[in-house]
Amino acid sequence: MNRGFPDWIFRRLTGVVAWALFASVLSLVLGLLLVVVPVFLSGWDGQEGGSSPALDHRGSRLSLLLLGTATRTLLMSLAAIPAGILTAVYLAEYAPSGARATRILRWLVHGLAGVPSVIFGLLGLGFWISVVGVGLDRMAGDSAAPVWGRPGLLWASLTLAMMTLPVLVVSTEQALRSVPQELRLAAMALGATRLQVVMRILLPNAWVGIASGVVLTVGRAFGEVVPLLFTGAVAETQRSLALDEPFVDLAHQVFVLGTRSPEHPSSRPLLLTCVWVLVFLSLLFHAAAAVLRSRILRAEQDRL
Amino acid sequence: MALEAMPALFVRLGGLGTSTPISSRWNLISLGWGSVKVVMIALTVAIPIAIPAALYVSQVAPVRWRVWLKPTLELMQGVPTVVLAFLALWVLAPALQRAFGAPFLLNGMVAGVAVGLAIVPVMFSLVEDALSAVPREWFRSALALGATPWEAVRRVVWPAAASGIGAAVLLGMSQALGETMIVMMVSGNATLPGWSLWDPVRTVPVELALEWVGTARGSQRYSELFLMGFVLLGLSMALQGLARMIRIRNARQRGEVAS
Repeated sequence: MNRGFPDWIFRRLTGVVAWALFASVLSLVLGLLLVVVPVFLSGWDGQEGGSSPALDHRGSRLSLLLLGTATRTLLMSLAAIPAGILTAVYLAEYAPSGARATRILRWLVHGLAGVPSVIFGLLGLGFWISVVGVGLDRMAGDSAAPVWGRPGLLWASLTLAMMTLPVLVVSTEQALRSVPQELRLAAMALGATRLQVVMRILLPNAWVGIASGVVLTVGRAFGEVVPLLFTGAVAETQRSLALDEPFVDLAHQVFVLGTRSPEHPSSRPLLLTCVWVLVFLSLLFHAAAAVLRSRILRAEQDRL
Repeated sequence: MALEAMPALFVRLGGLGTSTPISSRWNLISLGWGSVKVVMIALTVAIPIAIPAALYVSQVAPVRWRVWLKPTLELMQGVPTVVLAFLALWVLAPALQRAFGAPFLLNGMVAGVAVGLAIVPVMFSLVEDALSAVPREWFRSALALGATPWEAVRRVVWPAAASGIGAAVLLGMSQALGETMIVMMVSGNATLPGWSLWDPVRTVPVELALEWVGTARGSQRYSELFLMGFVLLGLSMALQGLARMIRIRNARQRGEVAS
């Protein structure tokens, strides 16, 4: 008893904490998905159920929000994914591995991968808008109203791309490194060039790992709001979607509507709908990445 | 590369003279103090949840439960922080006010607790990795020598994983330091330098996100914001770097190749 008591505490207490955490995470996620569904389908407390004009209005608002979010996520992916994969291939295969420059580059990339998103918002403002945007306006001539030198969809996407790039590089490099060295050496021994090794051996073998990293990173950027505050998300806009225009965004809308006064209940259905869609799609990204990762694990077990 | 953006930062910083007015220096101190308060509360909340949970999952739980526990807890990382902030604002803040009778609905305590809960999944996952990296045979050998599971964990597994756990705490801290959305929505956002944890606070990242709108390009305030951003960047890179250094050293001690 004397000796067993701390042991008993250890096993029970940690178990209680872990299972409580498990239960709360599960109920949080399921709660967000299930409890909000009735609201999603029928309006707040039945006050505006059925196919009222309010519901139609909500539907059209929602599609605008989704369009903005989809466009900025897509533009971001177009900019970040190829650059991220190329950088990772360079770091893993081409960069002289012992050189100081490579080591510093890798430290920087790893460090940047964990930098808070506000910083990237600030960098987007300071670089894309104040330097590139203002420069473009100046080149275009002496029009009084700024076209590019102000927050807009393109700058928001590029800022998000800047934010996701280091994370992509880190995860892709990890996937490339997990390809067995023997495969690389065998290909080299058969006379393959470096490019052939990368194209025929590394990318085919590592693509599942690369893809799971990409899906996870894009999913995280999808729900990210803070950089958009700096670079172009607005609460409402009358203009249509364009590269140089501010835009409405799903995740940003949760912030906008969530911080409105609770005495302002008319926006609640839209808010809850946004939350639901945001959580559902984020978890979809997460689940897709998990499925890919389980494929890697199985492949590794097969190889053993 | 994101590195391209660095010169812009330096150019902006060049505009920052040494003649900062006293009032804005005071402002910087209050903001820093706000950040310290929120990060400390967050760590106080997150560590006692994340570490026991990780101990259980990695050391006590049978494997068939472990395969369910870890992915479910990591599912939380997939929920966007705006959603967590929304929940903190609509559920946690009223609940805390009802329980403790705080004078303000939105205050530093709510922000700290919310951020703490938000960093639990990341911290749990990293601590669990650190504990699982200790060879299971060590634990079994200790049991074979007559140790109870608790003694085996405390004397064998914990010391071997301690630096990795330290790295996990540093990473959690860096995330709490940079957390913007949650703090912005539930902290009340007033720059107050007081001691009370139940006062509204404003942290450095929130200041950046709220203040840039009304700030003219090239003004003193503008370069001040970039200075704060730069300090935040430096701090979080330092924390990341330290954590990575620890992890690389650990991997090398185990004879693995670090990335």
